[in-house]
Amino acid sequence: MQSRAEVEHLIAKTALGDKSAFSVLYDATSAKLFGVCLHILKDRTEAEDALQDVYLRIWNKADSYAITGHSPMTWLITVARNLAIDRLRARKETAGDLDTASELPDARPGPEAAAIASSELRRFEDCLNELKSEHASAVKGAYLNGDTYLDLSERYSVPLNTMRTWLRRSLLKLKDCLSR
Amino acid sequence: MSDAPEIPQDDSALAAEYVLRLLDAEEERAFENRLLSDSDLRDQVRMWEAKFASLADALPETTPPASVKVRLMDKIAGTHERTGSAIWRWLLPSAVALAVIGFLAFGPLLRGPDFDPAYHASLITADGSLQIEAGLSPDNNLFKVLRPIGDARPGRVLEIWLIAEGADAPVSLGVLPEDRETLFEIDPDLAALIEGGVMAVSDEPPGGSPTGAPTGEVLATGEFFDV
Repeated sequence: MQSRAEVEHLIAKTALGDKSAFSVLYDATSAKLFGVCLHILKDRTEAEDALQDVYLRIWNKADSYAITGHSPMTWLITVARNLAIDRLRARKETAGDLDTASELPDARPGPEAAAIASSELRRFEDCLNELKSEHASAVKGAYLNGDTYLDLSERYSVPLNTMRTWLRRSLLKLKDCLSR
Repeated sequence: MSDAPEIPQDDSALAAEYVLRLLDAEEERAFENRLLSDSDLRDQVRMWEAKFASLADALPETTPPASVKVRLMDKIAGTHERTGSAIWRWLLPSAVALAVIGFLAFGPLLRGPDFDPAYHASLITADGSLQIEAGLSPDNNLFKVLRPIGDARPGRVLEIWLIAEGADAPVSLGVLPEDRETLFEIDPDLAALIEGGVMAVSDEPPGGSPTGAPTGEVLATGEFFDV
C-alpha cells in the first residue's frame, strides 16, 4: 500500500488521463476495494463486475476527487461501497429478496494496508460500543452490508418506524460521541 | 432533546441516513436537492462518509483475479485524452503545502534585479526526482523557471503548460532548456491567464509536443500563488 500522498498523486494523474498511473493505482488499491465489494455482495462474480464498475468510475471521476475533501482511501472506499450497494439493490429488485448470507470467501487481512489511520477506526469503534450492541450492529449492518430499514426491522423484529427511531437516535449519540 | 417517541429530526442524522443509503428514493432526491445549496449539509455528509469509511477500511483485503484488470484496461484503452475543464482546476491539498514550501525556499532565488515575481508556482513530482519553480513578473511579463532538481528523461524534453482558470485545455509555455535557470518574456495575453491558473510539466519528444497538448506523462502540476 502506498502512502496517502502517493495515492493522491496517482489519482491526480488518472484525472489527466494517465493510464499507467491508473494501472498503478489499481494495483495499489484493488485488493482493498475488492474486499469491500465482496463483503457487500457476498458473491465473487458479482464482486468482480462491481470492482470493474468501481474503477471505471474512478477513471471517469478522478477529476472530481479533490472537491470531495476526502482522503484518497475514503474517497475510493466510498465509491466502491456505493456501487456495490447499487448492484446489491438491483439484484434484490430483479431476484426478489433472496437470502444471500452465503459464506464469505477466505480473505487475508492486509498487514500494512490500512490507509485510514487506525486511531480513527478505534475512535469510531469506541463510540459505536457506547451504543446498545444491537443498535451498533444495526448501524454497522447498514454501512457494511447495505441493509435497508426493512431488512433491519425484520432482523430485529420491530416495526419499521421504531427501527428508524432507534437508528436515528443511535446516529445522534454517535455524532455526540465523535465530537467529544 | 425530548424523549418523545417520534423520529428525531436532525440534519446530521439525516445526512448519516443518506450516507448509509437508508433513505427511500424520494427522500434521497429531496436530500440531494438540498445538498446542492447547503454547504453545512455537505460537511455533514463528508464527515459521515469519512467516519464510516474507516469501518470498510478494516475489512480484509482480497486480491481480485488478474482478468478483472485485463478487462478494465481494455475498456479504457479507447478512451479519449482528457480535456474537460474540471480537471485543470485540479489541486491537491498536498500540492498547496509543497507550493508554500517551494515558495519559502525558492521565492528569494526567483527574485532578481529585473525580476519581481507576483505569482509563483512550485511543481514537485511525487518521488521528488523533479522540482520546478516558476514565477511571473507581471510588470514586464518576464517568466522565470528554475529547475533545482531533476532533468528530462534521456532523449526527451520537459515542456511546461499553463492551464488557465476554467480553461478547457492547457497552453504551452514552452520547452525547458537544459539550463537550470531560464528567463523569458511571455505573451501579455498568456501572462494575464496566470492568476488563478495551474502550471503543469510533461514529458515530451524532442522539440516538444507535436500536437499542442501534452502527449507524454504529466509529471507534476502546481497552482500559481499570489506572492
